[in-house]
Amino acid sequence: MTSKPAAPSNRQSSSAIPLVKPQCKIHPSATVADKAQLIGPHVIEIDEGAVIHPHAKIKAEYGNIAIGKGTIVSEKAIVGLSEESGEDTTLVVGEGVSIESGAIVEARKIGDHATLGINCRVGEGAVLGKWCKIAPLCEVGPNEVLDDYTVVFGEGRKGRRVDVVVRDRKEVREARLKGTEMERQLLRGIIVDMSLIS
Amino acid sequence: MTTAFPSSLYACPCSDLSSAPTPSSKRASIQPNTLELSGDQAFNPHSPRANYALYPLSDLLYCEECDEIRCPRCWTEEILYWYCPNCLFDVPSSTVKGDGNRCSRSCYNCPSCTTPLQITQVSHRDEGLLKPTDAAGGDETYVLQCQYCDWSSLEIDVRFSKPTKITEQLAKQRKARVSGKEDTAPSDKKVTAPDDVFASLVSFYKDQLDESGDSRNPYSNSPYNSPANLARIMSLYGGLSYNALKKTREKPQPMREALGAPEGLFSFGTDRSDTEIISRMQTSGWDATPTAEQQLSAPVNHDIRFADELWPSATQLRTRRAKRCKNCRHIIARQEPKVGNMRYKIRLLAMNYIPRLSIRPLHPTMPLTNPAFNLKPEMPQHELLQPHKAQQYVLTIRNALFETVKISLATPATTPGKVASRVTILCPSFTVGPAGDVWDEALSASAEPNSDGGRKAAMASLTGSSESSDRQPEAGKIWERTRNSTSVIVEVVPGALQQPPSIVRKTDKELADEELEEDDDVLEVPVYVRTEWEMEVKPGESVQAKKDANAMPGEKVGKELGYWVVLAVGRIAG
Repeated sequence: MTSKPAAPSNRQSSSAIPLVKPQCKIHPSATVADKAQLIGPHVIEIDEGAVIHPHAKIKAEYGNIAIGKGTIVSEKAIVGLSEESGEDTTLVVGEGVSIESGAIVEARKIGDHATLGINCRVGEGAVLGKWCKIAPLCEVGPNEVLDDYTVVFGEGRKGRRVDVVVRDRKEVREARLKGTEMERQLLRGIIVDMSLIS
Repeated sequence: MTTAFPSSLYACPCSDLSSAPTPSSKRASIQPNTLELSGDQAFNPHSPRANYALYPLSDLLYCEECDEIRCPRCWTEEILYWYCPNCLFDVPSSTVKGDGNRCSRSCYNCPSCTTPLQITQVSHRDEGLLKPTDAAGGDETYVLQCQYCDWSSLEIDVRFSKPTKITEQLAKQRKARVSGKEDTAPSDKKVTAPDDVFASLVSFYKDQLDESGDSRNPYSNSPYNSPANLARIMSLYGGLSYNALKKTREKPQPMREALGAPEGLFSFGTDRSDTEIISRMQTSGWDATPTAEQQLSAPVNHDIRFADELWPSATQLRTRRAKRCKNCRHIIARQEPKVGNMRYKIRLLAMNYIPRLSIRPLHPTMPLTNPAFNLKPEMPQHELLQPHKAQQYVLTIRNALFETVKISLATPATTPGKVASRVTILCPSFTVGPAGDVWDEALSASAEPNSDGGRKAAMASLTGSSESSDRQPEAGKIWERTRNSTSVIVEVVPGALQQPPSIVRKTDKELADEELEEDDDVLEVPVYVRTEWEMEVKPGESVQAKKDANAMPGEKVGKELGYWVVLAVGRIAG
């Protein structure tokens, strides 16, 4: 886990902020890779069993970030607000959320067991319900509220659908939970945890 | 038009924009080598129609019989074979004509996001039932699952017992559902009268069609599906034999429509009960209804009113096509008949036959980068051309044939279009050597002083000076000549984008005409290229008509080809 100043991000930052080591509350059973970037100055909280891939960026520059149990943040994903938002906010990522690589997450809250696809964008202030799925390259606008079990796969209202299969059938949800648990076990074997050092 | 400057685009002679320029009649002594181009004869690359006539060299083919360039507008395509893009299976054309152009294996598309569906296993366990101890732990069933939007066939309650032959299982489930609807006992006579009507209509039609007995393929529109239908249609006008002809005189009974209520005839009245559907639409809104595309995706979807009831549609087949010259019907491009194979059996590319033009600045201020090597997604910044400042470019002509070609270039003195720039080609007429094997070059003596591996070359490369950097371009002289290419200098003086203010007041129309539209500030130089070369008629080769008719095998026949090329040099600043 590197908390030293890295190359400036290629997104609009108003000033070259010297990257500060954040205050971290990382659970001992969480796995945080060496090359993951956690940037402060606000608080980053990582709950048990979470896995942070190398080159993932968790930026608590403008607000706190809380990452729930068993959440996987993949490489090149950026979790955190990119601009000054006003009030002191906390970006809450629920339990078991799978943030795929390249995703840009600025939401206020991500519900439990949601899946954010590759290179998707979730705007500032958005609230996602539980078991949501954002398909790759899709966008959720700022301050948009998604109900539980919503699937976003296209533009506008036509691109959202309530996934009744996941909602109504428990065995499908159990199968998904099993899948993400297996993924986490695999990742724990591959990623070397460096959260206790440095 | 293109993003990377400088570039070259070729106009196919089939377009009427690219008529060959005729020598000007004003000159007293017309020399056949020089071509005078007046403004309106030249190809205007800024005209809106020019977009449809210009192609990059990679898009053009060449017909060897006609000795002409062929563009996508002057070749015809014919279908080689049909295949499914998902399972990559070849589908014979007879099946396509009978069953329609859909995959009949197991390839289906998701109704909500049109991606191909995957067959996945789910465990089938009923909630709330006590599992008996000797049960075989949840039997596996199969569903179609979309990997992108998570749609699955569980949304329409469709499961499969085996992962193959999805088409059959789907058809069975569909039929079961349709007939299941008719079998439900009507609770109220008035409200469910349509169900009754439907049931009797269905049974009537089934009786009428009982001689065919073939399974209906929903995608096929062909009336020739079943042998009985085919026989009936053929016998409509008499059939093939004398007996058949006699039979037509006795009135045959073609299939008739239902005639009355007992047979299921229903006329549209005002008491049709769609109220359920309408009230549901009112609550769930427009977005819950399927789009026209979704409804038309499959015949089972034609009457569906709500997007969550859509059925998956079979994947449409794609074709592999061969290209033929329109004039002489010669095949100019064809691939192997095997489905996955991308090799071409015949491929007559224009770049192997016509000389290739490319342009680059003589004194480059920016390093020339190939756009394929850009690491960053933003476009590389091109330097803008300053008006009224003369620029020199090196125009290189590469010869693809194995004979020496004689090239004549012509370009209008001022570029056509709203911005008039002056263009001069310093040496418009020259020859280019033949392309050959690399062995030819190695074995023959090289004429360039700096290319041999001697001491002089080493010294020249060390000191960095060579004659070329101090050379001045001269009119009438070739700049550089290699084995199969020749370079000449073109001088361009870009014009100003805005006209200088004039004393005479211009009308509104003239002002509107002077307004620059998009891409009018790109300096595009149209060049007419005329190539002449001599081809030996091989013994045994079929002699084409007209010009070669008198040629005997072994003699040389002169050939020529003319076409317009548009060189995009850059954007003008201002």
